[in-house]
Amino acid sequence: MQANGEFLRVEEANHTFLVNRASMARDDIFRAEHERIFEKCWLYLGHNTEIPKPGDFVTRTVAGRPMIFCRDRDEQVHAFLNACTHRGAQVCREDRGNESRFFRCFYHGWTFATNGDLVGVPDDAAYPPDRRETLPGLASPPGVDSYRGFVFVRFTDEGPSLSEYLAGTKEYLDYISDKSESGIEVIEGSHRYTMRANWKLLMENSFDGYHPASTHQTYVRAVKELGDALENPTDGSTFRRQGGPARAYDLGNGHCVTAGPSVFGRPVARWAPGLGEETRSEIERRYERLVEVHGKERADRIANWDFNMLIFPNLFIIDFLGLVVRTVEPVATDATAITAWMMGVQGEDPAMRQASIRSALSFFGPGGMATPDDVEALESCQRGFGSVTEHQWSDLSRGFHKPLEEQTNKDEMQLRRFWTEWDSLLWADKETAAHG
Amino acid sequence: MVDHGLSQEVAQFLFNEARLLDRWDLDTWLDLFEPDARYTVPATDVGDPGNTVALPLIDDDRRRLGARVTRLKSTHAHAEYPRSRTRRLITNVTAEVSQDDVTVQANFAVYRCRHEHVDLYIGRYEHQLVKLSGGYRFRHRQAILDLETLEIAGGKVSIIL
Repeated sequence: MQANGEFLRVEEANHTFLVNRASMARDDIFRAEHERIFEKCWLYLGHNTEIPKPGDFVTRTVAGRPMIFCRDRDEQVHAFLNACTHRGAQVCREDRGNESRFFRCFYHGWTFATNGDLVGVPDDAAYPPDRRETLPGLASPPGVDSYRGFVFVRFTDEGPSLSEYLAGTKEYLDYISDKSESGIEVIEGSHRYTMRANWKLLMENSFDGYHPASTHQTYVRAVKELGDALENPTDGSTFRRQGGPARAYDLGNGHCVTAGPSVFGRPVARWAPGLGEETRSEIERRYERLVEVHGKERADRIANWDFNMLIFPNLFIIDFLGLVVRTVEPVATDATAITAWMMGVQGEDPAMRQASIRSALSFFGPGGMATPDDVEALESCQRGFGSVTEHQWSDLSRGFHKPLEEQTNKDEMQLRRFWTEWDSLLWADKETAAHG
Repeated sequence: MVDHGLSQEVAQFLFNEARLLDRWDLDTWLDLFEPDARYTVPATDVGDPGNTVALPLIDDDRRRLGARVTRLKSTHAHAEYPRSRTRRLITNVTAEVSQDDVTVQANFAVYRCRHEHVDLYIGRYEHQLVKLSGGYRFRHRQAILDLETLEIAGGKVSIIL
């Protein structure tokens, strides 16, 4: 493990791994990481099921770029920069919808087909014919690729393919994509919220298994009060008794996952009382079908394991209570925009869908009984960083003395991997610049 | 048909309710709910607030709402301890009788002051009330935000809206 010393202080002999809080408090670092991480890595754009029909589109921001994610008339999926090639106005100003024919820039009326082709320029006689023919269609980022319907973009053509980049995370994307033969889909509606804290704090928090016992004690109490999903119907284990057997795994390229057998109910496919008696037969049927299709071992993995996975740098897939996809857009050193979606089984009946949503909603989201407390903790950290001159180092040493295969979600290996990747990317370019 | 007398009566009910919430008298507030009541806040990007298969911000039945209140009263509900100061402005109240219920519409602005920030929630209420001998009770209490993201609202809905 290498560390340059400015942001990471790693002393293996003393079992010490420290992160410099200046990395979350300094504006020059914020700009540097945008340039060296967000301009270089594959970033999540959306899932194919958000745009199921020809002409469907959604707009969103990725690494500061206004993007159109759409499906053209021939079912081809595209990622376009949402800026007119003429003078730069956005050609689509709605959150989502269906453009059965065109994106039309209202400023001067240039018109683009849903496959990006420029198909209309008002009064184009002002250009000579040879110039007219070279007027460009909508631009796409240099990298656009997908895995199992999860579409990513990259704003450079340098670096590994998406498949190489995703490395070990593909195994987990397979688990969730195989929840049903009919597939999974993004549920309508999203949580669009913000925090007054550095984005990296949420990356740490989203698979930090150490904080829930303290931060989320009111949630655990609420779940108990509701008689929800804590009892494991097969072996009777409980949240507390289980004591955190979830393990942390390094998936390569800065990606990590914490994963282990669930003690909660799961819509696919582990029934528990909190999901409601009316969902029981369907959830049990789903489990049986998984066993038929995948065999018992893989079915148990798909049905019974919770996991929190980071796809570096800014995407979390959280399969816990329900299936949550959460991405962040760093806005400033101390400001982060967060978007979260839930996924469900395609074609499931409304009662099942509602049960899946409610199961996760009690915990997740800005109106949930847990997420606001996470955000409070992270904003509290950010305020604490006001003392960065005196308190420079955060300690991420839990479990550092143990071998990789013994790391649990209550250790901090997954956080250390995130920071090590962050640090190496931040310095990789600096060295190139210095030597180049 | 909007009933003006009824609207005035319901407005008084909503003003009293707002006062209970601003005073953090959550136990008294919870008594305003029928046993089969729901409290919902749709997501900011769902066009139809009646869409029951879309992801909301909050969808509490009476049991979950009770758990939410228990949680909010705790000093370990960190997002609301120390407690925020809130001020609810409610206007444009209209009410009409529909079947057994009273359907209410109103506009709201809820200010939340905490950690030297002022957060603002803007939207409308669409409630279903039932009138009992002791006054009105909620069957469905729904707060529909006009915000596109929760940025101006401080990023969370940690109070009762």
